[in-house]
Amino acid sequence: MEFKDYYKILGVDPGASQDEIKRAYRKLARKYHPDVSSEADAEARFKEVGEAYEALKDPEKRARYDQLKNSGWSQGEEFRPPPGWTDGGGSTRGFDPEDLAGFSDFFSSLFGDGMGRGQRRRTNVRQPGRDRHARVEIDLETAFNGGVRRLTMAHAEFDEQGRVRQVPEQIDVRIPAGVADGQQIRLAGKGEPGFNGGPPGDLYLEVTIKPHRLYDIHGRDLHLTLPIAPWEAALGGKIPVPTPAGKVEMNIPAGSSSGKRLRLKGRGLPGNKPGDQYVILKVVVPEAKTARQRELYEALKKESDFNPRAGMEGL
Amino acid sequence: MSGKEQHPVSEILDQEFELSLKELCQHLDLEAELLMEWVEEGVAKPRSSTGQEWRFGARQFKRVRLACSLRRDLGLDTPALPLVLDLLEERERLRQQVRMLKRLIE
Repeated sequence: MEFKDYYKILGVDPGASQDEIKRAYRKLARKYHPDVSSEADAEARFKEVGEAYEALKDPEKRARYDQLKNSGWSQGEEFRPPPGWTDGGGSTRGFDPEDLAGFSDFFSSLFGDGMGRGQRRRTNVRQPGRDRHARVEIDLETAFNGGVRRLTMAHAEFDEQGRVRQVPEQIDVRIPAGVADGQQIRLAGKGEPGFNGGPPGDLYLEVTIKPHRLYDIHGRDLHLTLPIAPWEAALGGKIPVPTPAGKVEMNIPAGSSSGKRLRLKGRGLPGNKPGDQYVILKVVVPEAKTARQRELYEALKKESDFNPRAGMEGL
Repeated sequence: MSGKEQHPVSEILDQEFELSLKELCQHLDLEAELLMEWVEEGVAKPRSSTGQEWRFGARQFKRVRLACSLRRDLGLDTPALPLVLDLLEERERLRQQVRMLKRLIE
């Protein structure tokens, strides 16, 4: 496993005060919090920063870590705990293993002893397992048709010696057709295991639909910006329009300008109340490439009294 | 029924989904008193008709979950939470609008 320089991760000096460590953590946590951040690797960075803070915020744990670091380890080096290394009772506050899900093996190997002293473990009462929350990003086609996504998660477990280890876990999640952006999916019983025979918690997934090349998603509705030629806009008529279920013909009224919204009922995301697809027209003007095309534009100019800037006169 | 449903059952939290105050607290490991304070401050808005028990729908469930994580991870206190939650929702709406408007002008 890799040695982690928790000071480097938080961007603080090894001599930093507890207060400085807290401030540095808060700043990075704000930057990478997965519910707030738009950074690409926010979730991974947030975990890393949280782990570093967990190790350094408690002066006793920090002292244990410093002892190790001062013996010459540096970031990224292949690390094995020195012989005879134990937590040494440094962590007076026990962890629940759920709190450590996703932390690195490095962290578990340093502070993994004596973690079985979490409060929830002390009682003999039947307790339900905690829920887990995660996010899943899918494409629009999966939201429309449904599909299966494999999630890789990690949960922390005790081994026979009472040490914590990270267990990777793969869950195949069926994505129901018609799930909307921001909606949540519940997988009953897929949360943390219960204690003393209590039922497991649930897994909640928050769905994000990836931006699509053609469609924007608004709840269950889809918005499509459709380029049309000036004569299509002026004369109207039937034109083919893509929808996630395939092409349909749509009637465009004569005299449609850019920005006009037309509705294809029930062509949005499926469900009890299916969404609609809105088509927003965008008039695209072709260049007059031939003499004949120029002539026709000129003729139209002569024939028309249209003034697109009529509302601006006198300004 | 061997192997017919290989995947755990996925259920969309839709319009019909709702939790009582007690259930919501259990799910999110939250003290009932704090949740009541949050409701007063506008962190979450339960459905309720007079004299009836509070019920929290899917959107409120998400807001309260988010409030829990903002409090735990960023140390936000109660008065800041509704503001942040509202701004995050507003940001999402504006992002969608910007995406759509960009398509019109690009």
